[in-house]
Amino acid sequence: MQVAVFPSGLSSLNTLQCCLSFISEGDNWTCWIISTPETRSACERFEEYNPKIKAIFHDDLEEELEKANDDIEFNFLVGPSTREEQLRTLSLLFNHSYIPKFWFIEESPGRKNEKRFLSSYTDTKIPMSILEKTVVRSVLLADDLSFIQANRIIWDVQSSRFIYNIQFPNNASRFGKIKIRDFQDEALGIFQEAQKRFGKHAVEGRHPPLGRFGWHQNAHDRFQQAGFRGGR
Amino acid sequence: MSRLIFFAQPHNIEWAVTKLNSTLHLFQQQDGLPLIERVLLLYDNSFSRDMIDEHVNAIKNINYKIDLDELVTPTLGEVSNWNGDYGLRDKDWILLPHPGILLGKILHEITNSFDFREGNIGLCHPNPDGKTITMFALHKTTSGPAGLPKIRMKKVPLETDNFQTLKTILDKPSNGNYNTVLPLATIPMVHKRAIDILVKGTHEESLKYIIDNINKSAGFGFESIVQSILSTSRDLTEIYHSVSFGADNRESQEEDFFVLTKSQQIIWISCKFTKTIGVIRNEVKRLRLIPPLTFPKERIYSILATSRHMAEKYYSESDKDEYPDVHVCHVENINEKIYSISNRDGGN
Repeated sequence: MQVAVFPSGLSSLNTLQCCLSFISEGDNWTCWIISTPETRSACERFEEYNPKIKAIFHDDLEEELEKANDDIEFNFLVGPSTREEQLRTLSLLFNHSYIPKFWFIEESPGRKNEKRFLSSYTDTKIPMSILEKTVVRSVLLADDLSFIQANRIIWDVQSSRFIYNIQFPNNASRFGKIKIRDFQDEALGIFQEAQKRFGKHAVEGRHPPLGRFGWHQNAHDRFQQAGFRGGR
Repeated sequence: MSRLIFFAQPHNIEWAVTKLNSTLHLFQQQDGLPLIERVLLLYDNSFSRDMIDEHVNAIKNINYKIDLDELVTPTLGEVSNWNGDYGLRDKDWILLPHPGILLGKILHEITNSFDFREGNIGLCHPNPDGKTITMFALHKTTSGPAGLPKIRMKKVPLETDNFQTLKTILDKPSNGNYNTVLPLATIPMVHKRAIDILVKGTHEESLKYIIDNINKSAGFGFESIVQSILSTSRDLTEIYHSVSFGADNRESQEEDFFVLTKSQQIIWISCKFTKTIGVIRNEVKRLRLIPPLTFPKERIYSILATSRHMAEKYYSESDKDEYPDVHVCHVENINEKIYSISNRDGGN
């Protein structure tokens, strides 16, 4: 039996996508996601969503390993979660005499799904599963759903990320320096809140070319510095 | 003979070199850790000689006697020629690199390497708290008829010296546009008098005193008072004033102060001399944002400095829990707040 095991990162939907990708390899695959106090609730929702996903709180992993069958082959995905949590999980595997096969997330800069894989260091590749909008809606908390709806944040199936397109008011071209700054603060606040909720790498911020509103180069610089993508 | 293996990093070199420095320093200072006599520096073809020299200088500054090997790999993720003389061996220590793909490669090598079949390897992980390095000691044996490896892994957290400077963190996003504030033994008399009025007097009295005695612009005058207060704090190691951010010196954002505490936290300080509570509320809302610094956000704090009257008014009229990460202080308690931030363990 193949078990993919790894700690969940704060980009919880990326964790779910990795779980579903491993599971799609065959009936003999299951996935153990190791949770922390910060990720426990999301992991438990993923367990409810797909019974082949098992959410294990990090303090309980040792107990699970003690009762694990001898025929399990572990597959450890490096990438999600903190380094500390990854090494903690790995220590437990090693100390219970399991040597896992190691995997990493291979992706091109464009991060399109067709160019993303789970790859092992022995040249095995598993294509990333696609996370449809219906799946995302079914695993998000009501509060997170309200947040994305209120701020017109959309789930992009192709890149498996949330996209926050800044909504500019009709009178944006008449904004003075202070109003531009206040508007940018507001947009940054939404962007950073989205990153806090869904994980830093799970949200992309975008704006239209700012020249359209006659905004100064500085405004563009500030958006870029905050991690937004968009033209001058 | 122990060897430290370090993967050069193409981005945020200052932080990479800082980690290298503090790890080497720890090996020199800490009882129970071996003496590092050799360093293996791995990098790929995209690294310029200048970038590599920054790493080499960091190593030689700690101990010029350390032997240094350099290994160029096709790409950082593909370390196919990491074998033979350079391959993993007993008593190696590896400073863990940031990208997950490299960590996986290292772990794959440890478990599968023909060069390293038995012995001990240490993994060094500098923690984001800036104060500790966690060491993971691995012991590998290869036994049984199938020659399968067995690994045992033990975790040892160690305190380290602080090597990170705020200057290196600010230099990149600010293009070096800031004023360095030096420590002071005492606050100048004219500022002491202003502080007294800001604490006990009315806004109008403070305004008059600042304009008449410190600066014609009350806002700048107030900033200079806060600067004097900060420069007497014994909990700060670095203070920078008028920090501008922006590409190509365009200064898209200017902030009053960024300071570094003894415990390696960054505090973003904004000064507001006003009698309008709305200005204070708006600024608090702005200070909840994460500033454009490459630094763990868990160690970034915000303070709004204002007069005592406005700080008290803000706390009596606002929902304290709305922005719990932003502290509204006045001239009399700002250093007290810095002390409490510097001496707390962890978050706000």
